[in-house]
Amino acid sequence: MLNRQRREKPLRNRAIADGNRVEIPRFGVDQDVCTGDHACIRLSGCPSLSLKKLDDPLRDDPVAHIDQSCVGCGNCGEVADAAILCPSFYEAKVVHNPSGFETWYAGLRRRIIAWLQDRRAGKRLAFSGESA
Amino acid sequence: MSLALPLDAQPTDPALEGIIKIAVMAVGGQGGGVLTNWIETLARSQGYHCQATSVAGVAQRTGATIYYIEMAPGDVASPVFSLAPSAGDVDITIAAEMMEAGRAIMRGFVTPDRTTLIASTHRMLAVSEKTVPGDGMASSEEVRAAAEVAAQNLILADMDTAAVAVGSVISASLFGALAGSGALPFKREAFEEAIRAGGKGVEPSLRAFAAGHDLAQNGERPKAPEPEPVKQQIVEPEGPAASRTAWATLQARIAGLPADIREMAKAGLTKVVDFQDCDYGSEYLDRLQVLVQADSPEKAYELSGEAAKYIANAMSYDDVIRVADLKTRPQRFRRIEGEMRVKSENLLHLTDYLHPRAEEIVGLLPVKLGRKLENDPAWMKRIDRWFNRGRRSRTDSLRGFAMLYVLGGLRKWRLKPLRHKMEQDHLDAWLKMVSGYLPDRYDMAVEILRCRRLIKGYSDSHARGLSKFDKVLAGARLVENRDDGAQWVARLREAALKDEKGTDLDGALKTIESFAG
Repeated sequence: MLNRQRREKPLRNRAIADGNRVEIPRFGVDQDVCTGDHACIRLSGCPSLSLKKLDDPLRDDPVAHIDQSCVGCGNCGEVADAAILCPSFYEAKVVHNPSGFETWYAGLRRRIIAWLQDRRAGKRLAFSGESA
Repeated sequence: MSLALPLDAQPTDPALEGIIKIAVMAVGGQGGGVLTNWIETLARSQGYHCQATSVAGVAQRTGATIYYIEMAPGDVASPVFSLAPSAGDVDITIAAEMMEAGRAIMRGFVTPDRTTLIASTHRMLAVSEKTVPGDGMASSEEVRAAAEVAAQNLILADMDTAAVAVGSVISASLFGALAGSGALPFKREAFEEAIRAGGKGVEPSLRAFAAGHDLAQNGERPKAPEPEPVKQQIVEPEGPAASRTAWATLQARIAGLPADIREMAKAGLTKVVDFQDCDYGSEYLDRLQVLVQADSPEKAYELSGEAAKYIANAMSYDDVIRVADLKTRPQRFRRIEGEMRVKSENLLHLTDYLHPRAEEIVGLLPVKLGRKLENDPAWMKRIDRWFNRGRRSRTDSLRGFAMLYVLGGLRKWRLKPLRHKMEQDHLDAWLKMVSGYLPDRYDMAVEILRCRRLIKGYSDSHARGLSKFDKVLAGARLVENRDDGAQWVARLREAALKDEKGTDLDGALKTIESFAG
């Protein structure tokens, strides 16, 4: 982890500045899927994996939250998967300097997905918040 | 009679004179080592003798790393320095986190006769706070109160935000606060020179230093008064006309509820309708209404308020369909893009970590078939073999998205399968128990409602939550006729929320059995 923070980060930033394709991974927790039982924290003990209080009157306990210091080592996701804890974890890779084809294909995918999402949204009540 | 202690008569050892003792409590990654080096450089540059030591804590926070520095003016001939701080004998304590300030106070490193305490008020949760299944966050207010009593001079401010805002790390703003506190007999320029001598990230460090210095001298600026709370606008949901009419009808029913619980009922209704549809929302209000009718204004509708909250949570249980639905919503994609700071020229790859078990699959089947398979170990094993493995699904790809999209679309059939039946039965049994205590044992009914908080998590943790819930309810049966029955249920619930294995809960249950047996 320290290696990623201290040695790889400057190299990576230079590569991005040089226009190379770089993927930067980070993990996250879906706050409305997480139920706040903190089982992941009892198993993982990662310093970036902490708690967050939600502004929701229906929730008593804070949910798990991964902060900006995550280096994307993936331990939390592995643990949640291996111990069959919950489906709240996701890995988000931000791709810097993607190739032309990649950008075009991602745009196509996004349009199809947006069309499907609109289709579903048209058939149900949609509240402005993510989940109430 | 006064006793002349021989201690008083001893002359002070000149080798101990004029020593300034500084303890720094820092958490991993905060730059406590850098701060110590700066202080050392500073002292030496001013012609002081100086010695610095450190006792490592644990990076994962069972304790902070304690850096300890002693310095004495150059004219003291060969001073004797100590290797570790001792209670009641520290001149300056720097704590890089609020609970570490608390720990420093507990260890006696902050005393009213001598200590200047410089502490950052931001929180980095310790492992012991995070692992509690309930809400284990410690109170910063208590530490603040203790600090005000224990310290001679106190500087409390959010040094972390101050440093991050100018692109640096907390060690620099703490160094600035140390300069600003005036606790060391050196000029500001000398402090800044020490940072320059370090040679790394000098400019950001100097900016954070200035911010810390300012905070120490002028305190935190009072926050801008909160903008007048905008009268919460009732945002009407968007959707097909028929659903919107149904929603308006439900709203009208909420308006008919007692004013005390309307807000909670609105939140609950929104959650339930968002989970399924307006008919389901109507079911929610039916259930709520039964309890509201048994409630009274004298109790400020406490029971109904709790019911509005926990019935909604119980009705929107976490099944495969809900998870798939939430994971494919456009709001989710927007939130993640914001959190990950995806710029327009970047792309986002999104991998979801899913791990379905046979139980989840069977829960999607019709009641009869599901029950049959569930009771047949051979079939459960087979289904496990087919489905039970960790799945990394790329939700930004068409295949991954389509899979979750189809699963989320099963919402239409959700009220038929086994899982819904199980949840429904559980909910009804629980509400029946609540109603059974009304009207005479009102407090008991309220506590039983609150026990719903124990049920959370997925798969195994969900099962554990359920078993705790059952245990607490069984315990409640034992004390139901006692006057203090409700307090006991509350105690059981708190015990269940404290640790995962449930040792506290079992202990509390044993206590109950001992007198209720």
